[in-house]
Amino acid sequence: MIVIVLPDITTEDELLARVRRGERRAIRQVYQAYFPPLYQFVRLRVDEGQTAEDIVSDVFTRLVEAASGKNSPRHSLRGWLFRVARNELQRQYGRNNKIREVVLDEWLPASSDQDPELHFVTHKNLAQVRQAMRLLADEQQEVLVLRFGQALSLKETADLMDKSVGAIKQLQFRAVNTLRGILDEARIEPT
Amino acid sequence: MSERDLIEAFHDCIERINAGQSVDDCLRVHRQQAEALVPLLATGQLVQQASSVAGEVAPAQQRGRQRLETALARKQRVPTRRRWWSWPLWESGWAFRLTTAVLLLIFLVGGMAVMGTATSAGSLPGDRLYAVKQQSEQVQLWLSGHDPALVVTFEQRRRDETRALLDLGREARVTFRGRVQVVDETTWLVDGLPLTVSDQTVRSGSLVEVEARTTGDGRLLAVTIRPLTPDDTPPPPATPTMPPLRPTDRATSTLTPTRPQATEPAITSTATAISSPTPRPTETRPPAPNRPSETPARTEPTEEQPFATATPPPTEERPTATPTSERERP
Repeated sequence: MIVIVLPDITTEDELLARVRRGERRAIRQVYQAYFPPLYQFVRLRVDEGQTAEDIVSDVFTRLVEAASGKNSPRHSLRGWLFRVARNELQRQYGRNNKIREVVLDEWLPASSDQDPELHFVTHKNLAQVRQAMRLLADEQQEVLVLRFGQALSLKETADLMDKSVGAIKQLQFRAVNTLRGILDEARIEPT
Repeated sequence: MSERDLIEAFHDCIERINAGQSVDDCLRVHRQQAEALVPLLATGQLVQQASSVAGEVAPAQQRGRQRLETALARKQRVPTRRRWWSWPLWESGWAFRLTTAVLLLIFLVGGMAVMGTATSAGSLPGDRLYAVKQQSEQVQLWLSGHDPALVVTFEQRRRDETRALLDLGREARVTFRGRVQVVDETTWLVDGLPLTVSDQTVRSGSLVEVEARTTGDGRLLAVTIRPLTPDDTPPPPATPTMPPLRPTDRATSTLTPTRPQATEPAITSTATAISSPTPRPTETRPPAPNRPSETPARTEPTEEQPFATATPPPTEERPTATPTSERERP
């Protein structure tokens, strides 16, 4: 079920120490290991791949600038990276400049009711699932991406989102439940 | 089946599936919630599938690599100015601990100094804290640039301390300054302090620095009496130390309260003449040969010395000493 495996914590700690010393090679290693999960994290929340690419590239530019400085990551490298990505998303698509809202009626396949045979997951369906996810509240989107997309543990997700483990349990349940309701209307089922 | 049970069962299933178990394995464990869990787990699976962007990642990462290298090159070209908070020592926490320790030490020492000063304020000569009091005064003098008013205050404090010792009947060695008011041949009054002397070196009205000791029966016995010139009065020396007591200046060092005047050959002629309370001719004053160095010149006030008029003893004392000393002067 894990799509992209994050580096283990020991490796990450070692990388973190080297990044804090400003080692360019360490920064390149971080880029190699963390670009995919960050891209995935961002991509699920924006419309276009190019936008996701820009945002993730900005995250690593920030890392280069912050390395060995006062704003460098201190305790958790992945926590820092995801937090910066999250902030960047909020900055670009915050309340004042929201990404184009997807209205449910816009993407619900009109023919789905008539043709039950189309109720299998196609590439198009997955794109609609992504759009359906964007109908959720920000926190629900995040918890789905982190728990199912990144397969982060409850604890890691809780640390990243600044919430308790119990709160994350409830949040992931409600996010899945809400998404289930939306997808039921579109009759999109997993393969 | 409560929602809470369903939340826990859902979470448990996610953990099991992530650990490699199948959906069926999970549903067998949570039979009661199985019906509700199926659509939820299926949705989770959809999210996982929708999250897969594998086809996009590699090209995006490749393109982004160029941006990373550009950022790294820019960073190398513009070396960041190292701030104090990014010093390795500081970041390791040692500098922080060291700074904290030093600050604590400063506060501790400062606090002790303040407390010591406050506590020693009422101390008297002979007390353990008296040295603290003296040092505190030196610091105050130094900080004030030897403010004459402060010097006068401290001189008054020395005399008050001596009075307090006499009242308490405590024995201690004291040093103070004051003007001589001769009462009789063996007892002087220096700024109100009765001083027992065996000989006299200074005429009344002179400004002197007295080193004496207090006795248990409330007497003040002179040990040395150093005449002061107006230059010795405020402002004092620039250094925060007390004026040094130079042995050569102590013309009266031979003055002891127990020695009779007659057996005081070492005492300078000038000294004897000055201290006499009654007008006495200077027949016993051999001139120059007996005069000890320049002491008389420094000790004896001349006519223009203002304090001469402030002393109660008769003025006829003056001529006996003054001519001698003045004649000495070129």
